[in-house]
Amino acid sequence: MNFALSDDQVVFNDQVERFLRESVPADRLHKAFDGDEAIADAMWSGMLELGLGGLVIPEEHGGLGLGLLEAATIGERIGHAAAPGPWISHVLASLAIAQAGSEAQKARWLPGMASGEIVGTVALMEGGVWRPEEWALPAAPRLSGAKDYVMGLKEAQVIVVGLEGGRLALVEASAPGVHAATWSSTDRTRPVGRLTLDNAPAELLPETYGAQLLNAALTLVAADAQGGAARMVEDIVEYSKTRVQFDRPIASFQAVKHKLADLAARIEPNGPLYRQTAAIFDQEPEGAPLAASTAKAHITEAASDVCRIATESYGGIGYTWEHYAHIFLRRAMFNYAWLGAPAAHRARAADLAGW
Amino acid sequence: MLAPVVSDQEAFRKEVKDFLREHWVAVGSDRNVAEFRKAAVDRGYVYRSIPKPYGGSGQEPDAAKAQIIREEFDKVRAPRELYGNGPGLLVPTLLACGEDWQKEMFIPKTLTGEYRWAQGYSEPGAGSDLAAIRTTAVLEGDEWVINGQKVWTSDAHNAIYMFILVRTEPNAPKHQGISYLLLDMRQPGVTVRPLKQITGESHFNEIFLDNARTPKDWIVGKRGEGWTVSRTTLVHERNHVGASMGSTDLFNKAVQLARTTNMNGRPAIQDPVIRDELAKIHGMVAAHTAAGEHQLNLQKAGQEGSPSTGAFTKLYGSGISERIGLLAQKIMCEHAIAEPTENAGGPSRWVRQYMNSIAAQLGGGTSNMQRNNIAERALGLPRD
Repeated sequence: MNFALSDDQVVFNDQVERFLRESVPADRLHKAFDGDEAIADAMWSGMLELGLGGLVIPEEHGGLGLGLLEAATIGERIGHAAAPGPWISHVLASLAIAQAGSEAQKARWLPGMASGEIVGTVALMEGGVWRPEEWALPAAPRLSGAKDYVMGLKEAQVIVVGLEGGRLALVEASAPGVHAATWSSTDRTRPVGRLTLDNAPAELLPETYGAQLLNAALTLVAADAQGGAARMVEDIVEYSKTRVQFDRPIASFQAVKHKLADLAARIEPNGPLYRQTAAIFDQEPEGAPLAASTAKAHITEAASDVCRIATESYGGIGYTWEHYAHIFLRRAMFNYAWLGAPAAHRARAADLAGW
Repeated sequence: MLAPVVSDQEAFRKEVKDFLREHWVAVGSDRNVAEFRKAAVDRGYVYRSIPKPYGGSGQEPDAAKAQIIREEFDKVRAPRELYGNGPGLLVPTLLACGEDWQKEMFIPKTLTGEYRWAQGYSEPGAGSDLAAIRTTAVLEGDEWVINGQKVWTSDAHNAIYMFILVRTEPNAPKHQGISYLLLDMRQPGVTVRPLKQITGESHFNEIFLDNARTPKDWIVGKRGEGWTVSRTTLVHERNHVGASMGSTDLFNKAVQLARTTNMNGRPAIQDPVIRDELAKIHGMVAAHTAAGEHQLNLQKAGQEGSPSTGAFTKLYGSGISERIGLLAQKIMCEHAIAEPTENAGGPSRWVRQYMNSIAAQLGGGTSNMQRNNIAERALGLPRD
């Protein structure tokens, strides 16, 4: 499976990386994290202006027509910056409409989602239930029930809702009977909440795409987790070269060196792993469920451990609110838990592998 | 009608398949491995990076072709290159640092397996700190006279030659006093004594050198350059120790063990704890495999990977081997009391694997040495 990127894609990714470095530096990120909505909104709209909302939308609808592989590599850069905003959910909503929507639905929503004028999200979980085969909301023209841990409720105008049998439906946020309540949660860069539907008007997507949408979601979460963990390792490595104790940089102690080497070894193969998973999704979709659950379990668990150990490695400063380490730690904890924790995905992988 | 368009890669794959059908599959039980390998060299399928005059097939590097060859040969279990100290370690070193006459004299017969080599590196007082070696070589007339002791020399009981690190410049700084010599082991000054491992097997040896002699010009590189010369060899060793294909094979066997072993009255594979651990290791193997693919992609694009790729791959391989050893122990319960036995099936095989996975953390540079490598080369942390 070749998951190397084209030269054009490498150039685009570098451009995205530069943008994120300039517009989401740690001090501004911290202000957004502490509730400065103007900064958070500016970061999010900057990403949309760059075209990051339209990655997987076909060109005829104004998007870039890229695959999940390319989108996931952008997702890694976004995770590396811990950029605020419901990018994952927006990309998933546009993927669902592009792959499973009618021509009329595509024409109605995709151009606006590509330009960023319209923000979309997906509502998949019901309580702790994330498996599409266990979604219980009946597929009907009017929906009643609740979806939980929904990202981007504040921003989204259109919501792709997961239904019984892995079906999907579109609900407009402004329609009667649609209620959104955002919770306060660990990862303040991507708040989630509950979507309550009370006889809300809905439009079914013709194709059944819930299962594949979940696989895409797991892959993007893994990519975000990998980016955040890589950032934490880069930064703690630099810090350890400058922090002096006992008259020498702490990086010169073997106890520190070996710990950092283990962190690096833990994440080094995981970039290739999520990219391979995304390439499987694009090219051999029948292998996507096993690959996606394996990658989600392996990468988000590693990222969560790595961010925890890196935070600890800062010493006292890493335990202060003032330091930004906890922004990444919290994002890693979110990635670990959202859409099924690692142990649940390992159980799914074991079933899928036929063990 | 137009001829069907066939990509270069597909055409090459067909060529390899046709060759294998004619020279390996069709020959059946009359196979002669040496003749087959010679035909494969002539066709450019094995020893691709080694120049023709030295018995290789002298092909341009092509990662895509190399992968097709590997896949097709493995499918029909046809032998590829010989492994071991000679082809894997000495030959790349000679190609990089040897004199032309040394290459002509040693490489061709090493590639056919006629010359087998022992690696004379570690000593009782020089393990991870290899540059601390104390075995000496002194020039007397046209010969080096060698005295000292080597340990962990694999394959020495089968080898006729040894490449050896010796101290030739006693007054020079530690790393600059070492030379890389070649030595004929068939002489009275060389005594080989097998080391018995914790499994009861003997794959390594102690070597006692008591006025052993070798010609003055059997030196690779110049006097005092042996440390640098030996680094070439170690780089190659680390690249072939940890390959992910070995991890996949071992993992598949562990799944089989879990299917066929009963635990608490049902196959172990139905136990949630075992399933979770299998899936965890499966994630590690998938990551290791993807990292290997990534390396291949980089090679195809002519790009360099991390300077610590060998160290990473060794940590993954040995880490997976260890996890599988521990899982097998858990699955086997009381059967894990079996004596480890070479070439045996059943529990003995897995007890042996459990113990061998300890060696995987040590041989070819310990895991802590790999961590030093990663810390210093990949992360740029201060040297010890």
